[in-house]
Amino acid sequence: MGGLLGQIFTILSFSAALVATASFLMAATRKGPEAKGWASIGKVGFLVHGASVIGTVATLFYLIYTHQYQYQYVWSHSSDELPVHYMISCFWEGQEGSFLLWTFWHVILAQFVLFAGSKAWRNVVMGIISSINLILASMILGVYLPSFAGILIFALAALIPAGYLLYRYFNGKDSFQSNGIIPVMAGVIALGSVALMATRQGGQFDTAQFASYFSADGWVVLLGLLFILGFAAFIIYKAVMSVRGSDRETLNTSELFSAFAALLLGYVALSTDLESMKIGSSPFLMLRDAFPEAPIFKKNPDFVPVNGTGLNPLLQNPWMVIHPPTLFLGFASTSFPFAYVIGGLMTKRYTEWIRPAVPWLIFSVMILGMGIIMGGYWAYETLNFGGYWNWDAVENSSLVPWLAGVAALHALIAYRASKAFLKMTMVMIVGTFLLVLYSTFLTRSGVLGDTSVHTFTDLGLSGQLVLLLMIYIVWMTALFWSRWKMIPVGRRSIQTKSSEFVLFLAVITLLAVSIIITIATSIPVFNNVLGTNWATVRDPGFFYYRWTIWFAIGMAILSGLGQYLYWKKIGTGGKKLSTVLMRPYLLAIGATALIIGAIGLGTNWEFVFDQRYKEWQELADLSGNTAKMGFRYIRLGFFLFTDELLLFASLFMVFANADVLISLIRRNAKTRTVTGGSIAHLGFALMLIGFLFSSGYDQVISKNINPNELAALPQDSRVDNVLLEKNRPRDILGYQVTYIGKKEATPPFTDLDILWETEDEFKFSFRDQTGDKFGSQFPRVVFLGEDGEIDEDFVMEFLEDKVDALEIKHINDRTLYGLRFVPRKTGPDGNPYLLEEKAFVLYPEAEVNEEMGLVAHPARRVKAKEDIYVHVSTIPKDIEEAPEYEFYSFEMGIGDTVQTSRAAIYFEQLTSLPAEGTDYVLIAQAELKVFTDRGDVLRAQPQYRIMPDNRISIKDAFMEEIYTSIAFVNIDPSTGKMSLRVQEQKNPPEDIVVIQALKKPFINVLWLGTFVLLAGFIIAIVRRANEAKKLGGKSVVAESEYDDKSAG
Amino acid sequence: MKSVNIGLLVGIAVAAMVGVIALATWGSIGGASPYVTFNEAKGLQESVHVVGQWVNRDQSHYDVNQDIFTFYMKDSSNTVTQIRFHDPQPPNLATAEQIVIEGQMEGEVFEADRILMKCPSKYNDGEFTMEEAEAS
Repeated sequence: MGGLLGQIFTILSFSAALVATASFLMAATRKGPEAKGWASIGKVGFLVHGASVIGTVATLFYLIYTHQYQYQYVWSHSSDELPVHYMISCFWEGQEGSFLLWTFWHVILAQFVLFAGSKAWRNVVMGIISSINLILASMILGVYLPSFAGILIFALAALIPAGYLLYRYFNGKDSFQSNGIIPVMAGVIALGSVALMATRQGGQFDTAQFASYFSADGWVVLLGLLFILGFAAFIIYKAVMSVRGSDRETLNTSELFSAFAALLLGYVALSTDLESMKIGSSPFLMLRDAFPEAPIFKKNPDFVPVNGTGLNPLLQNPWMVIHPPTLFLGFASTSFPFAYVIGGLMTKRYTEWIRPAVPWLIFSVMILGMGIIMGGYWAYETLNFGGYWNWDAVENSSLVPWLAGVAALHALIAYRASKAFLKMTMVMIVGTFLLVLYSTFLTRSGVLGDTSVHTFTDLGLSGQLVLLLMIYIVWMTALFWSRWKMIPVGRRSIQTKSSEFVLFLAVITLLAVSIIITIATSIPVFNNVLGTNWATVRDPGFFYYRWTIWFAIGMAILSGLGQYLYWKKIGTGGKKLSTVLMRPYLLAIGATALIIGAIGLGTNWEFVFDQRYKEWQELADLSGNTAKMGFRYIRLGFFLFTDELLLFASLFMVFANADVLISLIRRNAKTRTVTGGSIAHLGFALMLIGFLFSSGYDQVISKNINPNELAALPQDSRVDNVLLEKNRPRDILGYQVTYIGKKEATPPFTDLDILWETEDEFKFSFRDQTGDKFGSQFPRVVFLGEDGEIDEDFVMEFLEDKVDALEIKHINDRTLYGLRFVPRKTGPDGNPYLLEEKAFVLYPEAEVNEEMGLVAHPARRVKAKEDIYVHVSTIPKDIEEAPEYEFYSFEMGIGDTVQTSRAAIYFEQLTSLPAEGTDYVLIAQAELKVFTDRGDVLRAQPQYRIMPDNRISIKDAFMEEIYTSIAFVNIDPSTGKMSLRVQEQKNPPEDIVVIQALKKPFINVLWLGTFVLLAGFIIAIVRRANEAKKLGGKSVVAESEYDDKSAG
Repeated sequence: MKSVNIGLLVGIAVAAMVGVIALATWGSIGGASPYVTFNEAKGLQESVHVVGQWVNRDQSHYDVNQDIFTFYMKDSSNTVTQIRFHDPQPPNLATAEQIVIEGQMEGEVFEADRILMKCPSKYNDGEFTMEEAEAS
């Protein structure tokens, strides 16, 4: 029932977005009472849309929270074991939920436009935002058009208004006076909604299913229908009231609207996958409809699984609770500067859009940037990729819109400083939004397939996604085409020694990097379009390094330079530019030399691509002819010192920005408010240094450096993992590491939480002394109290009592492997010694997940200079071999002792057990004492049994401590000797673990830099917000009246 | 101070961007390795991608001392080849319905630098196994 409610909300949000889009765009292109009327319809439409989106979100969360596994989304993304904060993560694990999240952010952000923003921009911006939400809402409709009739309803919904308006337009009556069209539209929407609801799930239109809504969930349907019809009636009423009055036409509205309607029609018609006739994918799909062929549903249609399949263990991390919402907030916020640009173009206000758009653009760049960094931090903390960035297509496709957004921001600043580059700025803001859509297409359509490890599951929405992208590309191209000549050109020339020139170069540099990353990431798309067969780029780390490093160096230098030029008076203080630049230049040179020197002398850090350069040099030397050799040496020379150069450039950026920052702070209180830019740049410079060292100088330290073993290995073998046996120390680079065993639960226990219970069993979790969460499953009947409920105190008592006997595991089968690291130094005498006082223990995690195999989470030791980062590569289960056995046969008398490789066996006694009432006539039992090589004494009682028909049955005794079993196979009555057969496993599973350890130099400079960057952005936003407040509603202030430099 | 015409500047920038596009396309395609079969890979001295399935699973072996995982893969032309991978067995390999390896042939053995796994999706595999099958 909850799902039906959710589905109604979904459909309502779609229909209402359609109304909002049309009405706001109408209002935007009209004046007077008519515009007002349309705007109020739009507003109501959007509020209804917003309320239904929030309703959809609430319903879906409710279903997850109450574990309603009859819904496929809930079943496949959550389970009983999840704590509430991870239930929130389940919400956006799937595509449907993340589309919903995106829509949700649009709704929230749009409230600022609707209630706080300038009225002059409200209608057009809201119209565009509603249009985006309309399409996003369609992604989770999850309706199957049962027949041609379904398409027809949709076609009518789009065709009637479009055709009508076209007719009016071509007859020169583009006045839109008629009231008739509105009820038609509303009626069609209501009809469409009913039809959609009727076919909501399971594929085919099913009259029985349709009828069933009126029995079981009848009242919900009726309520939903009433709501939709009431809404339609309200619109009709509002429309009739508002359209009476002026009918002055301002712009070719019908063009706009019919174009949009036609696009929508095309979108609906074409995005309908012809095989399944499916539009969108609903999060409220029932499990039985998702798997109609499953035998269990044939047997029992009302089957509900007891538990869900759970959240991907990699996503069970606190960062995953905030990273996706932040990233989607970033994505959603790019729509707003975009809407202002488009609004400006549509309403021919070519420069006025800038002021309201600036805070949005800064906000969007900040949030998107934070979202990406959080993702990186999550990858670093949770995944065993060994780093925060993998150049994976999914990662790249979030980075590119950010780079484009930063470029757009700089273009905008250049425009404000120079009154030039307006067109470029507009194109770049639109481009940023289009890149967000492209990124959505890449990650969700399944086109990346083999090339990415973490795309969303393909939901068969690729056609719909392509169309989404195409709609906006076509619309934008047409809009720019028709308005291009009207966009003011501004100044015709700029000076080379000006901030705008440097800004322009920065924009171009950022753009070049975006283009390169986009193209390299889009290879699978080329394959699809051109029919080629290329995989991803080889050695992605080195590829992207080669292709972006010079641009990064350029950006860093330009940023240092630009700051001085931008704050002319403060920056240069009237002195010559070359004079002021001398200080940061010399400081950077000095610091670079110092750092490189220190690295060379004091550490064993090594640049990761030095090996590649060596290969390049070998290749060059082997070149057949001089030209080739020359080219190869030039290529080598071009890259050989890029890491040092980047270090220098970043340090230059640090000093130059710090210099300007200090001047700004010193000058006066007013200039202190405009420090956002230099602080943000300072942060980015620190990040560049962090990137350079943590990725460029990271090193695997889990090298097997036992010289004897090394000799046996092939020379070029990458031995990056070491095998650790429990309690046997082993040397790796710079450390001695010992596996000290799995982390066990230490009493006292607290926080008992019963996760679920059935008639027979219950599963629970609790925390141990160290706060780690453990879990187990017990039969229910044993722990019942007098009230028939589980006696929790008794459970706890039992657990603490039997902690040694029970195998208590971390919740979700995680195991923590204790690794003790002791730093190892070389003394003055050349002998290594251990720094015991600096020893530390790390607990990397591993769990064996049914679906994913081994899931390892790293652990790390944070130090000022570098992080030590370790993860489990293999756990014993993975490398367990087929057992091999050693067999022994012994003839023994009472009192005899025999020896195997692992134990001494003493024949203590032979007893005869009573055979009455059994299947045997005789049961002889050997009483054995087994002394193991570890000093334990075990008992074994193998039996030799005779059946009535004289057949022999033997029962052997297995001792798991020594992986040995003993069988009592014969008694020789003549000698009185007993025959024993001993089976010993030669390769018993050991308590071992294979680990990989890395060190990441200066990674904390990277994290520090992100905080500084964030601080800079916040200062900038606060300043813009204050400025906007001061200027109040005067949104049409001529840009020339305002100049950033006025502060100086 | 020198001044430049913006039109010229933008013109140069556009030309430069076209250049970057061309260069990056050339570089990516040049930097990309093709999908081939094992037999085709034998003739190539460069890094390639091969798509296939993990076969003869019981003959797979991880040598902890050398840190080499050896296994067999069948490509699209049904050729089975031994693969050497200088790391432990990747966690998801066992459940992957398709694997893509990147590396090159050395003699009769494929030296893999990277293994990508395509895991069965929860949505699309069409089969629905329920271990906790229990009506409620």
